[in-house]
Amino acid sequence: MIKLEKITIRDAAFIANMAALLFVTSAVAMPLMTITLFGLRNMVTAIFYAFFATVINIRVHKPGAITLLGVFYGAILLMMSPVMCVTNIVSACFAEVISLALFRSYENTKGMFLAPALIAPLTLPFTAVFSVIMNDVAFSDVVQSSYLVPLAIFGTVLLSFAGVFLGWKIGSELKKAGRL
Amino acid sequence: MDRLQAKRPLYPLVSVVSPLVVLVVGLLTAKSPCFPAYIVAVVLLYCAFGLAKQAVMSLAVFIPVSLVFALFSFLFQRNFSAAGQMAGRVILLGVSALPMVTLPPINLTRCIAALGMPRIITLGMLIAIRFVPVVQGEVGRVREAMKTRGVRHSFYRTFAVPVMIRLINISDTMALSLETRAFSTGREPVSVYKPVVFAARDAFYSAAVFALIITWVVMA
Repeated sequence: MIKLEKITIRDAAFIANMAALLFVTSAVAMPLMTITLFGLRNMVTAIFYAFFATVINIRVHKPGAITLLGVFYGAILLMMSPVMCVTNIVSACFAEVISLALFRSYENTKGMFLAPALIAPLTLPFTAVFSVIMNDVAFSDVVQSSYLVPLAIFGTVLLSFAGVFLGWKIGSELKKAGRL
Repeated sequence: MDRLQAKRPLYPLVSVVSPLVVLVVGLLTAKSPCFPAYIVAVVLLYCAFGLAKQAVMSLAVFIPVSLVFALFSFLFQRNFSAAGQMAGRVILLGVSALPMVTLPPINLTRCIAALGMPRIITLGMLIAIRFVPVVQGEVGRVREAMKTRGVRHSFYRTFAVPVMIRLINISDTMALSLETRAFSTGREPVSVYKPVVFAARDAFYSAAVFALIITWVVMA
């Protein structure tokens, strides 16, 4: 059974602040909007998403925290791009479901780090579907449009895990110092 | 973002749903030769409901962006028609979101709170949206401090750690002040300050969007 714990006001305020910080740092991907290479934007934001989600899990470690991060971040994105909003909420939700299905709770360290690492890679299928509709091309055309696409996909996964590592490093340090 | 906010915003749920419908229908029918007419009709509809200034600002940004996308599309596909369609899709993507972009976040929060959405979500959404400038300010302050101390190459110790500590302090203080003002995540009855109501204008707008979509689907 998945152990459910109530998210408190303190947790919500922390997650919301992290969502705002995630938005500010992810703004580095804005200039990449004009580059049509599939996976590039996901790759750039992957490290930030994984980093902040890991810090949240270290402090909150309750089921629902990652989904809430997706919802709060999506709420900011809603004012700019409804597509990005939906993509982020759904992928955060899926990442949490997969992680909890495998590890049942965030008490397990692997479960705590798996969900943050999955968010950015899970945005890739939704981005691909949107690209298919937006560019009116076949799915294979989107994925095989350039030899850089596999690199961008691999980079997204790699940077996600790098983000988790950085988040774990800074999170452990802050926890040791009594700040988390 | 405040510059873009409408003087008389539409009902929040209408502002969220209508752009999605307009965008999805537009993207699915973008191959139609009359697609530019659909974009013009959407822009005119938004202008009729008080979003003229925002529509001009959005077009001023998205027309150049769409040209870049069209150029890339032409370079890859060597097809003028496909490049034109790509430009149209990008313009529609920017323009269709206008009711959502011009919606004050507080209206959305009040609306979904009145509809019974869990308080943890409404409160968190509001904090996240309202705290973006605060977080930007904090990040700027830490960077200034780095410059003052002549630190350039130490990202982790002099930038990431201070920003995180500052943000944790802010969120703890905020949580404390919320709790002392009796905010909670329980099931206690609450009232919504200045509830947002569905007015006749919103009904007219919804009907106009519906009519536009039906006409366009029949035409395309």
